[in-house]
Amino acid sequence: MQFDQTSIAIRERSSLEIFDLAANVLVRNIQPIMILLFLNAAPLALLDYYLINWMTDVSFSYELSIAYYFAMLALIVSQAQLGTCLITIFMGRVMFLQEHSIGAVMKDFLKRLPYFLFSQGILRLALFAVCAAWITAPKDSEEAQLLAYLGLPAITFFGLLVRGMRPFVPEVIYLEQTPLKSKNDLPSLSQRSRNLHMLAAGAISMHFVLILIFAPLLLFAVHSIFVMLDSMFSIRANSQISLQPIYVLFSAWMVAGFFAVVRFLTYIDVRIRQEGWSVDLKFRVENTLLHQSKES
Amino acid sequence: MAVADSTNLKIAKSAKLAPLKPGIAYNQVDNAFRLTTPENISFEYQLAGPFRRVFPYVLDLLVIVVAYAALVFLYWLFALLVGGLFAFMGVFEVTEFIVAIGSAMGWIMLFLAYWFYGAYMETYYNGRTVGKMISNLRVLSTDGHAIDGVQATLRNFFRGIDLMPLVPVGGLLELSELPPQVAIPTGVFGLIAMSISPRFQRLGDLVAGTMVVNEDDSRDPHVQTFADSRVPQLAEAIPSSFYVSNSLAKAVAAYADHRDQLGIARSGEIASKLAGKLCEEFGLPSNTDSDLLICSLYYKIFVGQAPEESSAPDLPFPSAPPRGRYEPSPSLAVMLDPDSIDAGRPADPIVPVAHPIDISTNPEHE
Repeated sequence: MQFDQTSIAIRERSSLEIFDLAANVLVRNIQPIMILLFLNAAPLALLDYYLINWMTDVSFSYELSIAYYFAMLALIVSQAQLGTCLITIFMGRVMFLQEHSIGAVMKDFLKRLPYFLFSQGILRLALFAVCAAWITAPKDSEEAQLLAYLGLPAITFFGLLVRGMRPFVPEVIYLEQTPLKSKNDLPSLSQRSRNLHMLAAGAISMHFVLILIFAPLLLFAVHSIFVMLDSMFSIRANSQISLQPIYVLFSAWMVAGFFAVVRFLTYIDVRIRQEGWSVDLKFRVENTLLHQSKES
Repeated sequence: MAVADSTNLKIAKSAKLAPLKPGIAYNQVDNAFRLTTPENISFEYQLAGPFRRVFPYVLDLLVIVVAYAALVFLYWLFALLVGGLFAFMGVFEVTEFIVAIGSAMGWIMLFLAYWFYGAYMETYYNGRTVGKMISNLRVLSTDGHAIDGVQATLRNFFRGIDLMPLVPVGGLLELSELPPQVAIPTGVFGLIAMSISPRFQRLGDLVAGTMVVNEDDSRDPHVQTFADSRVPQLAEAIPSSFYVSNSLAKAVAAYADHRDQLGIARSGEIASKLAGKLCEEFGLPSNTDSDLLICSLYYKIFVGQAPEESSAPDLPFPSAPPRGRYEPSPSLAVMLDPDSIDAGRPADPIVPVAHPIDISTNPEHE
């Protein structure tokens, strides 16, 4: 691997430095990342909206409209990694200076789609959450509230538990091209994932805690931008209540997109530490310099 | 393809900082910033971005709240005693006056604390507030100098804009009785400004010409010790005429710091990337153990210099200049001037290639 041929400098960083860098990387690549996020998350968001939109009917029940936000956020949290696979692939290509057009990213995504669906949809329970929402909708108020306040959060929690312990599976699937079953001395996805995550328990815990802290803050901040823009363009003090579900949906997916970048950079940082990429890079550079000085 | 082109263009345009490593042509994204002084001394700063600055800011808010609460409590005690005394004497006007003054002073103190705490602390404590001291952050001018009072005041006054937009609590919780002034800052303006800026500058920093750097040196390498007795022996075989550049010294130090975590196979693989060339330079056999050679070079550079020191001191790598004009310390000067690395030491004879020690394998590393 050419560590000097990367778009992001190879160095060890603290968890907060990774968050800072992710903000910078996101802004530099905002256009492709937003397009890919839209392409990846829009089908999931539309599906979620179709399944639980009936809860937004305030005239039916006010409590139900609050239940909608719970249900929607739970669905987005459970689908966050599945809905940001394209960003992971894009970041991998950008990082190692490969062609990162949408076509190239989509091609890679389709190649690895079964892996993503298996690891995220089934093992991380994202598809189970969708099924739960589909079975319940559209039913009466009590069942909806049961789903929103108990069913979906429970599924999301267990999915999150698996994901929290092994967050870098999308990166392992794409960047390391690990097969599902071990073959030709190559470790299987599960073996590789276990090895990688066991050695990086500290970094993963910190990553998880920081996400728990910053995710609600960022969601609030991004949502406030939508509300502010709504107020500005509609020239009224308060934003339109009917658009609030859309704003929350957009905000939550944008935050999920940001955390996909954070996760990718954390994965790279874990590899840098575990495999000494930064030292490797320094030695390559020094070797070149010694070679040059001898020639001159 | 259009996306790819535009993205590359954006990276190329926005990456205004010089590449940090020699040999790397591509403008990499990084949260480090290299500054070269007129004396041609380079400093690499770790910049603090939006997320790293959240916790110091919260800590500073806590300091303000605690200090304000303490003052209010003290004044309340004073008002209780003095006001109570006058009330006991039947002079209620004085009691009312004390209460009114207390209320006015409270608002003035709150205003001053919020708007001038940061400016005062950063001016008189060399770019640091209590939160920044705890988090090892410091505000510096973009030219690397300590900030002055005007800069500190400017950047703190513009914090109000950086914290916008504000979300009214009344609207959020549907409490119509709350005035719109009661609002939660979202900090989106500052977040966007810092994410766009290559030096993570918020609007206040851009106006004042400042940046916030991280001074946490806990990750800097420390002097390593080696159990293998062949390390100092092989170090003696390294010619003293060998030019040890600052970057080579750093690379070797980074290796010594990481080799225990990397495992034998990986550290050997990394060491071999430099060892071949070094063997040629030192006139050593090509089958010299790579790890042993790098450890010996490390010993020669760092440990062999100060054998009398029993404790392991921090490596004298350059860090951020603390204040004003920067004057390198003697140890730092050694690092910055590679020619002086062997200054003051007796010139070692170039040891012949045939060594009495077996350097082909490294038992410590097995």
